Amino acid sequence: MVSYIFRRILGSLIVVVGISIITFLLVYAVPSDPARMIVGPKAPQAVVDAVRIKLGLNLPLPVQYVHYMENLLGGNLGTSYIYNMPVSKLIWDRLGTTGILAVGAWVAELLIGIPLGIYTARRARKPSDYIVSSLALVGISLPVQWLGMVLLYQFAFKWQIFPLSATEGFRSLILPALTYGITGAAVYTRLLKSSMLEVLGQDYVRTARAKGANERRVVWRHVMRNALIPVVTFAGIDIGFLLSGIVLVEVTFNWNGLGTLAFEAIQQSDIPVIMGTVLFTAVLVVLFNLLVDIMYGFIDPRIRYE
Amino acid sequence: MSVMGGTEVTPVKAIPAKKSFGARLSKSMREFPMVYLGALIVLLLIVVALFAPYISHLNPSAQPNNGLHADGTPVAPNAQYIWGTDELGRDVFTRVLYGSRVSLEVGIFASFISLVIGTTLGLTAGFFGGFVDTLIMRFTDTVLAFPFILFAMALVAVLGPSVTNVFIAIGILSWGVMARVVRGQVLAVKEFEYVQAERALGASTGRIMFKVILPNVLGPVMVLTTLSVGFNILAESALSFLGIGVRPPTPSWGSMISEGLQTMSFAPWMLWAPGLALLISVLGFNLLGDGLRDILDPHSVTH
Repeated sequence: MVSYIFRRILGSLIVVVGISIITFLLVYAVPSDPARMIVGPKAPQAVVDAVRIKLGLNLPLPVQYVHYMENLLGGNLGTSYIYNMPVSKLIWDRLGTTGILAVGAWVAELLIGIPLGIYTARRARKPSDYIVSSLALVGISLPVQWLGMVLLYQFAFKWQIFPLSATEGFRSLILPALTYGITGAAVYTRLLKSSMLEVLGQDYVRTARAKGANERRVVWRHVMRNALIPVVTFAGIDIGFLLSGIVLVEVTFNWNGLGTLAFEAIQQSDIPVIMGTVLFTAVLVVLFNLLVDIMYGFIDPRIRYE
Repeated sequence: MSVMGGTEVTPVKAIPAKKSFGARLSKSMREFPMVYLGALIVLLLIVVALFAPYISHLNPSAQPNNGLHADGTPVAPNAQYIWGTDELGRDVFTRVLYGSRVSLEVGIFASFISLVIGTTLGLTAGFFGGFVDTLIMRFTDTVLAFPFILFAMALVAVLGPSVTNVFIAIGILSWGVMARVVRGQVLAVKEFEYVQAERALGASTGRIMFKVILPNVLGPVMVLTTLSVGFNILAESALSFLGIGVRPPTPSWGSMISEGLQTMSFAPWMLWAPGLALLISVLGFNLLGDGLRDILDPHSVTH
């Protein structure tokens, strides 16, 4: 187990280094004039030159990367040109807001997706399965920002069941969480359905039935344990999709989190903030995947030896 | 949808006469109705994109005099503007028609980029294994770790907003899943006896890779590419919604949705059309992709 965890951590570290290289190249190597890119098109040439010297952009790329890494390891993600504050502080301040929304959205998609998955698997090839499965396909095809807008219009503007603003605590959370939940749930439904159908067809399930175990016991004791494994795996990977979708939900619902921070940074060409959020969220995804992998090693001992 | 039922197999006939194309088509339509629905939607989308000027004679960027009320508010749907006008007095129906062009263009080109990168890397990793495999798959893990929309936002911000940069950004960020699937498929196919036989006969690496293994991974690649067109159309709409995709006045469903969000309280008709157009188009590609998987799956199991 120790060697398994060690290998996973090493793998994740490599990916994190890869992430830092890609983000670095995006800012310092892709644009023809990174200094101009960083300060924006309106800044005078003198400022551009000053920034170039200050950030060491005249040095060779590998040297620049080393400086960049030194800063990163010290927790320094750079300084926002708009707020004139450390990027790490800006991210830290908004992390809680996004965290609440992410947890809400995640709970919503599990609460919708898993029961529907069980339902369709147990009624496979019946009309009710076709209806729910078709709805799941619609769910996958829904533009999340549009669904959010429609819900906002119907429930907050027209019927006034929920608040329009994002500042009323739990009541403000329901619509955005539901918005993401509906679009995300479909993936869980389809995943659970196919894995349950696979497990239902296995010998040990037939044995359990032959022993006379009732259907409820077969499904909950024997099938679910194995059928849930791919779902658990996906729930870990899902954090990446969640953070992507949340940008759109946050902007739609005027929710002041990381997504909105990045969105505003793009509009103001605040490159350090954009790169900071991208880097931070990517590392967060790697950390979650690592956690899932390690948990997975405990749940399913076979995986440790692969 | 399955043909596993006993009724199909019971009568032992002599060699059945070859059915006509029409008969086979109608049989497959009954078996896989969803694929045909998906194909119909996709076809319709292509027709709309190509013939938009013939469907509506209005200009999508024009701001006609009667497009806004005297107080500057948009006009609700009426005989002339069947889906109403937007906040600049432009015809929503015409803009939705023309919006299909950006969606299709980005959807198809981005998928093509991810198809080329994903297949090449997946094939190389799976075929050569060892260090090459580790290197490529770590790179894939890295790209997959970035939250897609955020990274695409950053990339478009660096490259500059334009239709071309949007599909380049989406394309070079979305090949990860393709690479993984192709690699997995190659690893499986590599062990098949006829591949081993080709090797024993002294076939060149190139021949084994492109003539033997590639045809066997085409099925899943086709399915994934079809699905990715839908996904990429959604990605484009997300970027345009955030105002970093296509530049105005070019109509894009994503930017129309964000305009609708601003005018929701006094012009709710702008809400529906672009979103529904997006939903139906993406659904079309998803139906087609899902259906192709259903059709191809039994094949890949028996062979």
